[in-house]
Amino acid sequence: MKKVMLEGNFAAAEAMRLARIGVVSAYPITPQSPIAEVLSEYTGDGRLDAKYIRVESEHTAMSVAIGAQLTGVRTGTATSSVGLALMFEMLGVAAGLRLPIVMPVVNRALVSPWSLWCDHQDSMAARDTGWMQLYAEDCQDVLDLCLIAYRAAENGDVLVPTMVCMDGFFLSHMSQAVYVPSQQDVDDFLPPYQAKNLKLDIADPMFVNNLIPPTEFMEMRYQQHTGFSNALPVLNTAMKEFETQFGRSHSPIEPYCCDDAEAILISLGSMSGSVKEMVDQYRAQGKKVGNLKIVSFRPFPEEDLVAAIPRGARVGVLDRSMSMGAPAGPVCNDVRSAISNQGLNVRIQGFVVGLGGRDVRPVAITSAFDRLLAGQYDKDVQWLDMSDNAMTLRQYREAI
Amino acid sequence: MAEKVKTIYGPCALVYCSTKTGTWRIVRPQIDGEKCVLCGICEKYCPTGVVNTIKMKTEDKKKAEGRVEIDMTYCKGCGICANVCPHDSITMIDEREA
Repeated sequence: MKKVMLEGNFAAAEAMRLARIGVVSAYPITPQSPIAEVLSEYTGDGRLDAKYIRVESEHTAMSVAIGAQLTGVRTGTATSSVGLALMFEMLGVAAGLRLPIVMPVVNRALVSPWSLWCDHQDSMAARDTGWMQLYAEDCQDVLDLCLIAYRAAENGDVLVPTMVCMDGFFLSHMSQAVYVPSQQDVDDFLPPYQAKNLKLDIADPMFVNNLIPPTEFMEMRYQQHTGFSNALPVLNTAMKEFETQFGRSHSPIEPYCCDDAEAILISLGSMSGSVKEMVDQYRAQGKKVGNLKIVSFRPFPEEDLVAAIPRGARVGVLDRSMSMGAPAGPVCNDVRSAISNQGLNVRIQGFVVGLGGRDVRPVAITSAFDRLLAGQYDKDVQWLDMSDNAMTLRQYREAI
Repeated sequence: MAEKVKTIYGPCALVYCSTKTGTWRIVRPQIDGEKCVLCGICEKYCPTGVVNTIKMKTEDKKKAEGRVEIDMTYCKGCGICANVCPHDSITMIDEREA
């Protein structure tokens, strides 16, 4: 297995090439554009035997991917931010038709204010569209999670499309030495794609995505729910099989120094690396803190997550997006729900960090850990590392 | 022949009763052969393309002979043929009375 310097976008494109996607329909958007570009290069120079269909929007990109995948090929598309928002309608179609499309999502803030930079608002807004969501911490994760996603999503008991989320710029444009597996190894891991459910076949026609009356709608939603219920064990198995084949281990949640921790910060994506660095620094001072990284946000690994939190530990959640009007960010709300559902009575402190491309700096992480260690709890979500003048950013003089 | 039951998840139709659009029809076109001159305008306007004007050669070229056929399996009864007929030779009649 060779090691190559790759940015996150290129790692995603490598995974899609190795998965032998047969149709590409991607519309460029910052910071996803390099994926659309490199897939076009691969298709042009023959490294990828695929048809590249130029589309005029993300809505069409997903529509084309859906139509193509229905004929029995893996399809490739990727997007970011408002592109994902424009795809919204078709995300539900892909999920409802049970098409296991794997799509890298390069996380970027949603409007407004306009921002090109990273936070998780885009994928969190698409949280309930019926897609699995895996969050990568580094560029190796991007490649690995894409391959794992194909394997898990295409399982006949799952058939759920999957977003592999990577933080815009922090991962998408960051070079890292990435192990790129051989085509032979990936072929062994991912057999040729077969349409296991709905398919478009002239010889055996079926009419898909038709109007469904109230007498059947709930049942079809329940089918999707069942796919998600099956997804977590299948994902676990796919990650173990990946480790056997490629030697790198992955898990739906990854606890770091949690066993004896008195304070734990739960995180998603690239900021987890910064949290782990701060955990090391706190541990060097004898302070028992830990990090719990969620890799699979959908399906939500409720039991494993709660089991990884030692009794008595104080817990905070770093959300890189906010669910406006809700008690906290989306990850914190889910962690609270999981804790309650497992019969525990633990107060979870919600934090919001790193919106619109702001670094999750050590000062944000230390202020969160210090609050937890001091036993401070505030039912209101805490916005960390913010300017004091948040409410007076723009002022002007007006004649009285 | 041995058969296996296969389950499909999600919205799809495997029985195509509604694709025979004639089942939608509540009125049907009736052609008055005395008025019809076989001009073929109804054929050109029919949105489903189910009208077929058949003309036959006759000795007297001033007199047309033939018939207009409508495929009732697919005629939805929209009435456009009746609207465009320059000789008012098509009447839409209630299916229940047909």
